[in-house]
Amino acid sequence: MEPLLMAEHVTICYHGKPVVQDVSFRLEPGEILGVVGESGSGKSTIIKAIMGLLGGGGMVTRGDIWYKGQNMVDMSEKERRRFLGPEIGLIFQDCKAALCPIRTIGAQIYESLSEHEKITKKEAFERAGELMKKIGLEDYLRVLNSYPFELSGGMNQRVGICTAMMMKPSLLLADEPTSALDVTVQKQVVEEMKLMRKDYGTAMLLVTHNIGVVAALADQVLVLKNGKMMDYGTADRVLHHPENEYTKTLMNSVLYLRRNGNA
Amino acid sequence: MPEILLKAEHLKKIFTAGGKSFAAVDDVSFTLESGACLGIVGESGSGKSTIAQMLTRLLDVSDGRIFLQGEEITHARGKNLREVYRKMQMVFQMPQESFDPRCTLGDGIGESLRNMGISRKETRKKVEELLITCGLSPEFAGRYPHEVSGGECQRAAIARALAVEPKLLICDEATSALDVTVQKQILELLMELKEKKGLSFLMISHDLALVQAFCDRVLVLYQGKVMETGTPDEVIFHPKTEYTKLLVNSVL
Ligand SMILES: Nc1ncnc2c1ncn2[C@@H]1O[C@H](COP(=O)(O)OP(=O)(O)O)[C@@H](O)[C@H]1O
Ligand SMILES: Nc1ncnc2c1ncn2[C@@H]1O[C@H](COP(=O)(O)OP(=O)(O)O)[C@@H](O)[C@H]1O
Ligand SMILES: [Mg+2]
Ligand SMILES: [Mg+2]
Repeated sequence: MEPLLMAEHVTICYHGKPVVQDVSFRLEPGEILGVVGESGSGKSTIIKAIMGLLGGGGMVTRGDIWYKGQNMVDMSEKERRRFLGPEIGLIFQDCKAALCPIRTIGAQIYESLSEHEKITKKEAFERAGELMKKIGLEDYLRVLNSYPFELSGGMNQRVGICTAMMMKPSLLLADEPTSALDVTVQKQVVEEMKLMRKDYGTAMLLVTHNIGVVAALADQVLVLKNGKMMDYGTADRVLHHPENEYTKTLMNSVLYLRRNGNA
Repeated sequence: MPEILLKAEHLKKIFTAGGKSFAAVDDVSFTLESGACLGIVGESGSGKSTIAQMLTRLLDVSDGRIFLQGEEITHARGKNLREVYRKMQMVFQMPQESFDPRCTLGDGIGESLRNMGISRKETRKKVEELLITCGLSPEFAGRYPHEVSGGECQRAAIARALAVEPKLLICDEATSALDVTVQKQILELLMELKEKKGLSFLMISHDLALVQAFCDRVLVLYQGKVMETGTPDEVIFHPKTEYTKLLVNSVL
């Protein structure tokens, strides 16, 4: 079967300097791949490269990235944008920056939904509200009627997560989706991501430095250091039985909560 | 009986925002014994930093009293406050922001020593020793804050805090912005200082696992109020309040 997303020997440079080198992975429909690594290791760069968001100075210099058999690297910006929404959803570390500052959250959610399906404002608000309640935005009517600046960072983040999830995309690209959230909220978001995969078969590329989040969600894990692949395999093998020296150091540094006598 | 180093009694902080007042810290009391490590854990906005700022006199209390080695410091200022800072120092989350960008790390670390009237030469020697204690080579004294990594800058911030040979370090999310491998190194350094120098700690963190690994006692804070206190294992294995249960169950 054709993979949903596949990166083959990808090298990405900024101003001619490689920041991601010879990275390969594949993602089947409904699968979750966690990309972990310390700051500056190239995690965000990989997600940006897939969606053509590297900006000036940034460029995929070698290799290919395939989505459903189409090469994303060669695609024009316009072609790529066609995928955004129901095909590929995006969640950034700072979702507020991606929201329009001068329109209400509700108006923005309605607009992005109605671009892809026939839906009334009332239906859009109801659907958004249902999901918002599940990720701790109980007062969803207030949220929908608010402008981004009227909400806290954590609330805007959840709005961004909600918007991407409501499209039920085939692939979700999530860059540190929960890193700015409190653990109780993070847990709710992680539960919703699990349900999303179960109910809609959404595959995810989950980029984060938080090993706990990856352990809770990922089937496969890729470890990056200074742009190079250190490790790539099943979550159990990479997280719990690492062989690579760097992966070992990384995993040994993670503080896990001890609960009632067992790890 | 170990000496009681720091004691907070019914601390309260009222903020007024948008015409409305609310208690960011509401009736918080605790004691910290010499050589011990007390953790304050809570989610964002629970009042952790406000407590730290009241203890270090960066903020006035709205109510309550603070004692350091039995002496009341609730309203300490001037000379008395300088005495307080010789016993109690603070390390913040963003080390780069706590150093003057125009001065070298060595100047920053040695500042308090120079202020105490110690000679330039003596200061330079002491700064080198402090850097080595904190796992940095002496050449870091000549570097500027923007020329070092986050972990290196945090080591320098710890070196600066140690310069006055304090008894207590208040760490407010001191490792939260660092990569996990760096966090581990910094925690190991703090642990070593605790053992070798008998330093005491108030560790403020949103990370329950960190508090469990590092502290003897923990205080769980929620919306400015103390939910419960106990040893980390008591609180984590047998949480008494619904909130603490939720917090423990949310950790992945
Ligand atoms: N716009 C840019 N211009 C130049 N270098 C960049 C740019 N964005 C990222 N980099 C560099 O690329 C490397 C990888 O960055 P990034 O992918 O953001 O890492 P991570 O997300 O793992 O923290 C870093 O060394 C970073 O400084
Ligand atoms: N100077 C201030 N004026 C008004 N409100 C403040 C001020 N500083 C903090 N707060 C509020 O007090 C509460 C506690 O904040 P803080 O102590 O920083 O929490 P934490 O460190 O646990 O995240 C928050 O609701 C915060 O918004
Ligand atoms: Mg990143
Ligand atoms: Mg704080």
